[in-house]
Amino acid sequence: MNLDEVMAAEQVGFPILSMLIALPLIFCGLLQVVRSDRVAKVLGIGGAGIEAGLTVLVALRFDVGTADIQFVERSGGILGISWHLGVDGVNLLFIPLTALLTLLVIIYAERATASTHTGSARHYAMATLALEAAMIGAFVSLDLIVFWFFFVIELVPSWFLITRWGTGAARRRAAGEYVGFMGVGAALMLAGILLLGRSHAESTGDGYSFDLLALLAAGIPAEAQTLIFFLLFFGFAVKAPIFPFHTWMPKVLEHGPIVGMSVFLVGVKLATYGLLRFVIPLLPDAASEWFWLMAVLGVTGTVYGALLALGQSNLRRLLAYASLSHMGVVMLGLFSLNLDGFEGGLLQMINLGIVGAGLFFVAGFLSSRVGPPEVGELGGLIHHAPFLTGSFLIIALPASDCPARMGSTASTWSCSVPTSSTGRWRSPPVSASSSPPPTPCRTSCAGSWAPPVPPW
Amino acid sequence: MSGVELAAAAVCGLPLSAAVVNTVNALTGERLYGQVAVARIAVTTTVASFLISLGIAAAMVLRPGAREVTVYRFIDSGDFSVDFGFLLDPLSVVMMLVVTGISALVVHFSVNYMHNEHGFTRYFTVMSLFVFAMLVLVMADSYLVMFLGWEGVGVCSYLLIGFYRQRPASAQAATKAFVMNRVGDAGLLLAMFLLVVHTGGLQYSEVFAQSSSLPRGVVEAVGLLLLLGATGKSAQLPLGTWLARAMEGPTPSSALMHAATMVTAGVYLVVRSAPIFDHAPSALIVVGIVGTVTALYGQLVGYTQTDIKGMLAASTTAQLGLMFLFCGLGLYAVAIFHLVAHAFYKSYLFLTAPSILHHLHSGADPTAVSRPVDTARPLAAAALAVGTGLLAVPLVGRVVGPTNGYTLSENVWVVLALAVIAVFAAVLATQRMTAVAFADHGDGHDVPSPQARRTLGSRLVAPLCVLAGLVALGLATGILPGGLAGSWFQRLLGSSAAGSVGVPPGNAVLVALFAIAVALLLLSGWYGARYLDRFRAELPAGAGPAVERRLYWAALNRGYLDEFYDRAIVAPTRALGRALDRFDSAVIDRPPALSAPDPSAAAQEAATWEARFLALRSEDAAGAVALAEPPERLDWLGISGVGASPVPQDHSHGDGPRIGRAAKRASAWSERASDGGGGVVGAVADATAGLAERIERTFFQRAEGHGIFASAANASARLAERVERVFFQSLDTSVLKMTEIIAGTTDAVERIVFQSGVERGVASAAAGAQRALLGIERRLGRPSVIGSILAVALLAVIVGTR
Repeated sequence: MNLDEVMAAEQVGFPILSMLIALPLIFCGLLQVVRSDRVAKVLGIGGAGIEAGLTVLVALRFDVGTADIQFVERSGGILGISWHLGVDGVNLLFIPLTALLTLLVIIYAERATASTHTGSARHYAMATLALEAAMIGAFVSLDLIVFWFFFVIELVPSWFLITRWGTGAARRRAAGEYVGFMGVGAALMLAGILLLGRSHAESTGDGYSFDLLALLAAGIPAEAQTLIFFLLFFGFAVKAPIFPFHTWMPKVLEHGPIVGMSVFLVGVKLATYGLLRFVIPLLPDAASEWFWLMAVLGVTGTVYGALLALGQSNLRRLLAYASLSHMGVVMLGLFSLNLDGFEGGLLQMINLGIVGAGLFFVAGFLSSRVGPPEVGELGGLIHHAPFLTGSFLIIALPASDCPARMGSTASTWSCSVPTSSTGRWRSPPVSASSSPPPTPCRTSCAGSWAPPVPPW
Repeated sequence: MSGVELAAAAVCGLPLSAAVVNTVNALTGERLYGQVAVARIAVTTTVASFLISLGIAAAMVLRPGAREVTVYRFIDSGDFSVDFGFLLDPLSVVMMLVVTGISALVVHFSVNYMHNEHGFTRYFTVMSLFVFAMLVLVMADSYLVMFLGWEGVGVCSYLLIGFYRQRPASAQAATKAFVMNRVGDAGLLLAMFLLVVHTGGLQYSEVFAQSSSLPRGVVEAVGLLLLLGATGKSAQLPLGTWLARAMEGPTPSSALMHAATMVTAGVYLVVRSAPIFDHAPSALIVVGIVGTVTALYGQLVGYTQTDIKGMLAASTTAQLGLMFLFCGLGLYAVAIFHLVAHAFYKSYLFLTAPSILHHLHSGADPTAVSRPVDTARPLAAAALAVGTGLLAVPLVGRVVGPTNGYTLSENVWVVLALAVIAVFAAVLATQRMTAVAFADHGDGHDVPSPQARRTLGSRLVAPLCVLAGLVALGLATGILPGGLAGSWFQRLLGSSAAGSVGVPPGNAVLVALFAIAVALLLLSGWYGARYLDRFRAELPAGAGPAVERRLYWAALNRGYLDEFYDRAIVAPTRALGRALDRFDSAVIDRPPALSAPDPSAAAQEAATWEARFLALRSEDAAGAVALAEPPERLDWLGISGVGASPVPQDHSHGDGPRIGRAAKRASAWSERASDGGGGVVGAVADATAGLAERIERTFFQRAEGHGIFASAANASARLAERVERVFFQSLDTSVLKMTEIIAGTTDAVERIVFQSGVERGVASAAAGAQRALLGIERRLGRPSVIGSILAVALLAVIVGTR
């Protein structure tokens, strides 16, 4: 694989990706310094807005006609670690998505806390901005150590968001669990990354390098691939989450903050992005050797999540399991190991990012108004909140794979493509496409169209 | 853009634009325009759509030939691409006429019917959306685009069944319809996947061109899966039970969707896929059998229903079954003809149903008082004999040997015989319904009140007159069976629906058989209706034969299918969900006690986000105390079979102490499991614990006695002790003091930083880090974590040894 690069200087004239990472942090600092709450509010929304504008600029200036990596910045080089950022078709859409979700979350927080003077909205915005910086950093970095750094640093704002703004009584436990799971995952991942660097040193004699392009050029010896593959996979599997490493997620989503973290957890698929960006291209042999295991995990997760979601009464928990279910479909697409599958999986990631975030916004609104959103008790909601209910229905339809909405194209795609091209599995897509639907459907039905009814 | 493209786009686009405009109006709180305009927009666009369809049909008659319109490339990925396009051939044009024509009438009818109803705008928006989706369904030129419309009508159906949202029953009925349809959709999706795999595309032209070269098994599978999709949408057995409950929606929408158009989508699908079914004779026979069984079922159920909509719904199921039966016989044109005729008369019946009820009776239950019963047993028996006689034909045929002209397979006769019985039942049910609905029920409650007459304005009557005219027209042209070979309808449909399997054209024997059967049935139906009245469940016990009474009861309860699904499918699935939930929390993760929410009363009472936040914040201290005490948590650390089971493979590393711990945990867990009812999980846990204990005894205790492990452990313990002693002794007072100073400075700095605005940031960061570390440590004992570490370790070993 040989990828050319287009430097950022040629395209926009300034290091725009570094700026995308730095900008939220700068605003974070400004928010800390500023005294007036009013200014802080403007700064919070403004910062997120400018960031979103910049990401849109990246998307607009992006040249779709080439497969090159664009907006590249490359500097430094200590111990094989270099500040190497870039955007191509794989990560392009995640950047505006992250920025958009951040903007929405901050606007929501500002409005929700506008009437009180606890000052918490300010810190909430700070934590969210920091989270955004870490996410975008992880998405644009092409050096594995830098990626890993952002991947880990993301835990800090997450910790604060969950413990300080969580709504469930068990939020500390949930946060601990989150950090613990992620910590173990990150440790395994670091081991894998170091092994990658070592293999580069051995095969080229140039010393350690963690640069994606350098690693791709050097290639990884087949006998080393399996170990590295599983180390990296465990790291991503915990984050994604992929069955059976998912148990932290329902808790965080149930007890965590109403909107902030949840939106990012569900919306931003950092882990599956990592699989697609690093694991599969770098370790093709291992991936093609173990694809069946990944597919089994994906399908198991899909069915398992859907079944669990059926039994949940708390909307936020329910959506968490539905999200687990959707991740399975993405896995299936990715590990079909062909271009169509990647495209389908990628599209599915983005779409479910939007859909999942939307559902969690609605769940958050409900949660902030009625407390724990118990589905059975939300009957007749449409009388009181017709727009909210209508939005929920519309967002829930793609989540249940109804066509003519963005979700379906992608999931049909990522399901049909594995069947077609590899010809290896035939039956899994069935369960994948048929099992998630009842979930949101049941929710919107029991939840909105009727007076309280016992779940059917 | 050519004329055809423009017309096709307009037919679809007009209802869609109506839906969009009305939605916008609804979102603004109906401030843009009022209800009159809402209705007017919906009616105008639908009528316009109908007129354009008429134009297309005229063009089709003048210049025959299919026209394909491509709007844009829908999916383009590698070798696989699907266009968003329309196929205008005779079949789709007929369907377009039916859809837009009936819709125009029904929408117009609804203006009066829904007057002053809550949700007026919502109703018309969904109706417009439905027309759009249905048109996409019938006009599409690929399975994928067809599927868009397919799901679109499903959603609209969901919205309209659940229209009266104050009724829980309608919400449940809507969910039921949606979910059962999704089961069918899974079949449709699978069929599409198979087609993509084997033909590389979903465009009708592509697929049909290759259908003859596909392996037989694949074609049969595709046919059966398409049938599964069709059974869901068209309410055929075994997925048909949703239709009866779909009557929760407003009556005009039932007329349009659940009688005339949407439910016929399954028939359309089968007819459209005729080239596939041509190469899948077994699948086609299944189509016929499904149709026949459903027809019988529908008629039996319809006979016993006591509310008029229930009767009509059951009759719809039965008629759709007959259409499937025709398809199964390869008589696609007959099926489509029946579809068109059925659309007219069934929507007429539905639209008159409220009038009848409103006009003649006070309630929705037209049950008549029992009337004297004529004995008609011989005639009913004769009809049954004809049916069973047909069953015998293949046997006879086998004895006599192949006759010239009979190219039918033997199975066809089974289907045909059942069909005759079904038609008999249809006549029976219709007779009874008519008789009951229009009978003089006494008590004077059938006299139309002046008030009722007044409300039946011209608006209500006019569409009925039009429909009645159309029914008459349909009957007039249908006296000669329009769909049979050589008829005008067959010619109109042209090749798109002409089947190659089935009844040979102009088979006089068959036509005669049909005619005789129908005549017999017509005659016997009338008497049969009266005869069967004897078994009505409302009559006192012992009034009629027991077997028939039981059958009656079963039919009255719709064959207990709903109950069957609830018990056999829904309940087990939900139970499985709950079981997995327990599995999730008990085996993969911690015991449920810890994940169970324990929100404080204050937090629950607090209404707003801020209030909740504040309330929870004030409990932080209490929460922290609660979290600080670990004894309860220790005992679940790593408790599970997952943590313990890999241990036996690990003993080569001599990890004695860990084995001991694992065994204890496993036994603790098994105790817990057996406390909680045990079962298989408990048994497995016991077994695992026993194994671990044995391993512990074998390896660890021996090691303690005289092995290397014991001495190594002792040595390291002694070393640690010494290091600790030396380290502590070397700590003199100055070091202590310095530590104090450093601590003080840190404290001061922390306080200053804290006051300057970080507020609790640093403090909670420190606490957070501390807890994070604690958390990590705790997690390390976690089954899943241990499991993954062990897995990695094992892998490393495997890789290393390779």
